[in-house]
Amino acid sequence: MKQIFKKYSLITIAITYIFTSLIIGEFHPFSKYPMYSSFPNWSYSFFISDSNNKFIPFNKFNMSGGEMGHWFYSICESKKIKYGNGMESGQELNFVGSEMIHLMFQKSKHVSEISNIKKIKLYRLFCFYSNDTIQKKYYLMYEGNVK
Amino acid sequence: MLNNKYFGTSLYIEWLFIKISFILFWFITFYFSILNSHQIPLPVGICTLVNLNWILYPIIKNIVIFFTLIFCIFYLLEYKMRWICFLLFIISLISFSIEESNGIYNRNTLLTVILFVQFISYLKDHNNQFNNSALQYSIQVIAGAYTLSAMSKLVESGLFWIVDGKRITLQILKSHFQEYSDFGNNSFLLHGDILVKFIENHTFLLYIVLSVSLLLELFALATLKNKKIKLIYGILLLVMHLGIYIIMDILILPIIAPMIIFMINPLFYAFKLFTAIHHR
Repeated sequence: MKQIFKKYSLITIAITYIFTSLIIGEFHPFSKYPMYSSFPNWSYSFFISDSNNKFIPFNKFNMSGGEMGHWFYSICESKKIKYGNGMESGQELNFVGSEMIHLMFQKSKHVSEISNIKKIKLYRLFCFYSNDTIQKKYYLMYEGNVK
Repeated sequence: MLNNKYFGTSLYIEWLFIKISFILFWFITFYFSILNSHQIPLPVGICTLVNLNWILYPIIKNIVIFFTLIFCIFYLLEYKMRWICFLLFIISLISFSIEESNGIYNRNTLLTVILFVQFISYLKDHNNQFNNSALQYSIQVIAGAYTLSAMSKLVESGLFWIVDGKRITLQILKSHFQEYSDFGNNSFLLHGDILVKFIENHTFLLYIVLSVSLLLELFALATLKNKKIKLIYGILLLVMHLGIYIIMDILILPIIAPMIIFMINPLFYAFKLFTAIHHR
């Protein structure tokens, strides 16, 4: 075994890491590095506004749109909600939206900007191709008071 | 032995600059990761097996940060490396698992694996003052990560990944809209629209770029052949990442930074340049 390890030591670690990651999957520190492993016919982005539909940039909450996207997928996966291509029901989107806003407030509870906002709306932008043209659909996922 | 041939004669200095760059990047990433984690709402990885909420108490967090800083200094001084690499690996595993359990996937996997393989190398050759294997093993897992990424693409989409690539425009719109939603600056939307139009009008060019990227990732293990190939491959991968950043506005630093540090080692070349100018 030692002989084999010595002979192939130039790639043993790499091969072991590749095979272990393929078997175990997404379990830190293992990963299949699945980023952009497919280009589906949909993409989601998220944004927030106040009760008057005035757009609020995420940086005011020490947040980013990327984080909101990560939360959307993580919440869907943990709650076993199928997502993508606009397949989620209104009820599911409302539930996931409320969880996202809850996490957002948890993260930015020390940010003073929050106290100036009474109501918040979370929207999802759904982009997809139809007849070789990009279509955009906006959906109000969640609307609630700022606690 | 294989490493002397692989890395040449200036191994000690190269290793020192790699260690400085790597541990600095790792510590900054770890610091912000643990600082921004206040709870474990969506447990994944090790957090599904062990309750780690106690680490997030402010006082414990500060103690962990303090000791981690001490360990990083020991790492640079090459002191008790077996233990230091192991402890840093455990800290990395826990802190980044907690971050992922907050629903945030910053792809810090490689940082933890590098510390683990360095621990393995010191376990194997603990008498060696500056362990050559630590460097070589680290490059192996970085190359392995790129190969895994290519394999994921081929398993998920097959060769259609290249043809499907024309829908990259939807991802471009997404990433530029995310920038807009962060800062409220319309120029991000405008930039995204320009890029989408460009790609829609140059599909063939996109296919070539995607094919080259896929091949580069798939054959990343070639980088293990020798030092020259490692450097050339590192530069090619850097160009690929720059292209992704320009087109898609995506920069996955926890993957790119270790690749640059271990394959290109810019700090070492900056030092060489500086000494060359200084001695002239």
